[in-house]
Amino acid sequence: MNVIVKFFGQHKEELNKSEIEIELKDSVTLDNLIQILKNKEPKFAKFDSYAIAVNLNYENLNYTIEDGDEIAIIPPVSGG
Amino acid sequence: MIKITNDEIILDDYLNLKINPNSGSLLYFLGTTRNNNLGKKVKYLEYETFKEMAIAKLDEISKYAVSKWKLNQLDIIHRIGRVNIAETSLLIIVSSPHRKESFLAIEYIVDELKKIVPIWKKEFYTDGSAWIGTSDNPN
Repeated sequence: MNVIVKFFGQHKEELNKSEIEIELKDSVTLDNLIQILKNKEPKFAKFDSYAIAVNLNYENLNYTIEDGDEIAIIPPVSGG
Repeated sequence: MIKITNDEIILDDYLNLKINPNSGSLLYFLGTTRNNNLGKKVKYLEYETFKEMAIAKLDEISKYAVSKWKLNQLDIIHRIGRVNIAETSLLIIVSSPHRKESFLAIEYIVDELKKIVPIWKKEFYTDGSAWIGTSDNPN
């Protein structure tokens, strides 16, 4: 399955892209996805602090990705 | 009402509210953009959001606050895009039967907003710029 991973703020700026499409095997966790992202985007490996959202909700690294999930890497927020 | 907008937030547009007869308190909180941060002179700011998720998270925060403090009214308006110094980036309007609940609700809403709502600000200085919320530039 293919998933779209969205980037925002400083990540979007440093990677110079707002999203990336990644082909995954079944039963892949967010933790696995992060490793794939680090290999695919060396700059991503330098980011030290972020949360991950799936379908608009924050999820833990052990979340198993399902077909059609919308994944977003959320840098530290700073609204207000 | 929950709104994320590129438009300037004009307080006057929100002053002529119909006051709920069950309310004894109507509170406005304005978050405004400061001309300095961590010893640097800020020229202007830019806000970015993941709008769909930000609206969903603000809605969660709002539902919790309305239920916990029995609020009669709650509006949260956040501006994004370029915001000049001394402009309003955030407006929260709360009314409740008694003042204490309004004060508590506003403090909770601003604290949660700064923790979980995907909105980011970037400060522009005379000599460069920085995303806020990073370890070098804490929020």
